[in-house]
Amino acid sequence: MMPKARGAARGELGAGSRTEPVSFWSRLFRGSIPWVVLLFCLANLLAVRWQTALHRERAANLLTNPERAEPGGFRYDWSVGEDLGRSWPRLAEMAEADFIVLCGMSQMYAINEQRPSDETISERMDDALSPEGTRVIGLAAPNLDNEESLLLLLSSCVEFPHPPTTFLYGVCFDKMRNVGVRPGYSAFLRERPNLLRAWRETALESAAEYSKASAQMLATLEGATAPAADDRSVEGRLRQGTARLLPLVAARGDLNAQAQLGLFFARNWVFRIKPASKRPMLQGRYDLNVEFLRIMSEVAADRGVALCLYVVPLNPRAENPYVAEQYGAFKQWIEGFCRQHAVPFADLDDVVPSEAWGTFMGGPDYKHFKGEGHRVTADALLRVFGPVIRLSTRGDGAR
Amino acid sequence: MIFTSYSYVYFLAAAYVLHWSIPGAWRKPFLIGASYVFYCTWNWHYGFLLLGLSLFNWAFGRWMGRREDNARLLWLGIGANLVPLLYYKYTHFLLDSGCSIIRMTGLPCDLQVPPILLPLGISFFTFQGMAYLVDVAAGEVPFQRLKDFLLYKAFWPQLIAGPIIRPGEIRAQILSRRILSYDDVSIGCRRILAGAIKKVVLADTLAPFVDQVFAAGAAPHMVDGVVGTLAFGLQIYFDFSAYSDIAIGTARLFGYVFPENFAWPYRATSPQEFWNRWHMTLSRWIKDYVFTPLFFTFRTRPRLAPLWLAAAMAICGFWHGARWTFVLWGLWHGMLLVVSQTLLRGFFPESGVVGTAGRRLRRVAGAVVTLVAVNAGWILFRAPSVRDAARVARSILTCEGGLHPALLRENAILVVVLMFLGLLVVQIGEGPIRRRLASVPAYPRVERWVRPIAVSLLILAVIVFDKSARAFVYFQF
Repeated sequence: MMPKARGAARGELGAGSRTEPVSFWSRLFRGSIPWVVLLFCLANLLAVRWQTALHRERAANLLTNPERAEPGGFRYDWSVGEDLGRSWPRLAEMAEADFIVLCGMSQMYAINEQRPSDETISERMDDALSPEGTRVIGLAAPNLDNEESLLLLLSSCVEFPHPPTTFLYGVCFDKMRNVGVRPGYSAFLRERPNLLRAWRETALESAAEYSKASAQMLATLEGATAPAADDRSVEGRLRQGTARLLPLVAARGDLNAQAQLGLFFARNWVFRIKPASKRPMLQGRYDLNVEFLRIMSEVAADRGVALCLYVVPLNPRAENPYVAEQYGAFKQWIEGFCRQHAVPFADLDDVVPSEAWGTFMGGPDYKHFKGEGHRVTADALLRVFGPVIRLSTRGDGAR
Repeated sequence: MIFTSYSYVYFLAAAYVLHWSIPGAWRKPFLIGASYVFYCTWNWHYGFLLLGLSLFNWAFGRWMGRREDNARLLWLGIGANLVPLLYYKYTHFLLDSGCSIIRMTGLPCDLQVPPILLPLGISFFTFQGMAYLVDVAAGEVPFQRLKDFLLYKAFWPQLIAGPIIRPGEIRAQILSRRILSYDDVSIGCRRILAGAIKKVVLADTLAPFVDQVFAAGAAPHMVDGVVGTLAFGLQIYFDFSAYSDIAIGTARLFGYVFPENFAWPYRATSPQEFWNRWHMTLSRWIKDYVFTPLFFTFRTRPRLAPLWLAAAMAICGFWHGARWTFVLWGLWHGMLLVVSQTLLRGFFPESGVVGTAGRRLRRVAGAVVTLVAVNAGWILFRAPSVRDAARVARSILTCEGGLHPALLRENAILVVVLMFLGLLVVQIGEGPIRRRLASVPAYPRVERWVRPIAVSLLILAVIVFDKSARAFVYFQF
């Protein structure tokens, strides 16, 4: 029989293992555990240093600095999809007046060889249109897919004081390979009951005609509203509390991104993958993105928003990763789709001259330009869609 | 509370410290209380169901144990255990199937049954309760003290998804006082870390790829079908063996040794060997409590044995979920077992037999065929409906899309292939490498330095790759 007294129970701690006479504590301190604890503490210290350096680098980066030196403050989602909720109040201030939304992928905000006076496409358009009383809000994120652009369209309609007059969307062929909604947008969706309702209603209304997109939207909704994803749940609060105590946990998002980047470069190195390596279309994903574009046109029409689509500019000097026939077929389809649904459309593929583009991974960047490219694209958009924007602002039926 | 959640880490740490700090006499009640807290964090109402079933089985077992003729009583006990399972898990399936049959006769049938929330782990604790009563009826001494039985039934590491523990496997441990041991702490922590790595880094990485291919209405090409199926085979193995690792490791921290549940299943050289390596506690349960009684009842007709084998595996499939896909998955495995033991008896090698090159070749061939057959079965297991399973199977069999995927990106294919090859290498190389290292004189000294670094890197990997606590696949059963 084992002793039952409290003291005896305590004595068991020192009584050691059942197989060896050496005490429990002695073995514990001579084993791996103290070293693991020590290394863990060291890793936390390194995480602090690493993240401090990262924050310093980010602060110097135009893209993710909300405090950029500009009198009016930022005019686009500076978090580029990471934390739209934090940008939203400032953007909502702009949306008090008539406004249009420019939506798209990294081309919208990335500036190669940036100079202090450089501005993004949406900022240049805002400069041009704000004297007329129309503001331009930039909502962009890297590799934005069409489900996400639908989410941004619905967000603009439901979460701003009033819907935008025009929603300009730069469609990029290789983004038709992407599906799903990133965590930053998912969190934005979760926190907004009106948007959640609009998302669900759109999914259900689209079920008959666009079954794949509807199922995908419902899956997104399920993911967004899952208890594990909720920061206010016990689990969410424990994670936040642990992050306050352990720098390693606080930095896990950044470390994960760094690990993914390392894997990305390792893959490129092993398989000799370059920016121009061909990325064939993925039929299932392409079809899903097509369904989302169709839903976007219907949502915009229902809500009185003038949807304008354009094919994003590409560097004429750089080899792009598209299979030529597939890209040609895509452009033909989108043009036909826009004609059929009376959606204003422009193919800006070759609008930006080769000198306005930057470099990437040792070669010409096929998709991101310098400040000059932003200016040229903004001018082209104003030239092509200006009449639609002005008509829709006046409410003359362009919607 | 999911095993890889931060809630569980804090819960486990608190339970561990408290358990070993309080007097020995309080430890069992403490573990029972902690187990109920663990269970009730999901849905406290169903804590009463667990308690009710536990009280019934304990009282019934004791009563039955005192009687000589307990065969009829046993059926009563099994029936009582099955009622909640049938209600919560199979009501919809049975009513829908009944309705379909009625509609086939031309009569109208439209039943509106409100959704029923499935109590977490009901399949596992029901099977455990039934096994207890069967063992008691067969002569096993029932637990006399309620707290012993409550701990056996509710101890949280095995409560939700096994391992399914038989009373004989844990009785002695429950009846004797557990002692804090360094070996238990060391082994327990290592198993928990191994489980966390398998779940967070491997299984959860594969989950989105699998979800894309097996989404209802998805139109996969051949490449998507093959890679998606392979990915699910890996995901369910990493996921479920991770759960078992964490369960076994957690129990070990409190001084309890649970039976193993997995032993490199994809190394099996025959379907029979696969089931001796995969979800071992369930396959033993099915063998001892379904197949053997059926075979024994009809022992005068030994030719019917294949039929009982197929029936037992169909029940195994049906236990996993109230869907025809699971029944078909069970039947598929039943058929594999029957065929491998009858028509292809000569093809699959006897397990453990090694020797000539010819035999080795047979083992390799057996392993390849078993791997392909088992993975083909996963299509049925994972697909949301028979139609979706047929769609994936058709895409593979007709080589739809050639080598062009429709759903999966190149990265996903690369990750799945690398993981698959990695698992193969580890499975094949694990034994020889371990033996080779053991023969190196300097190995213990090197290991002393390498182990803390390796463990720290693994902990770092779990922290970095963890996004949110994703539920284990087997929670739905």
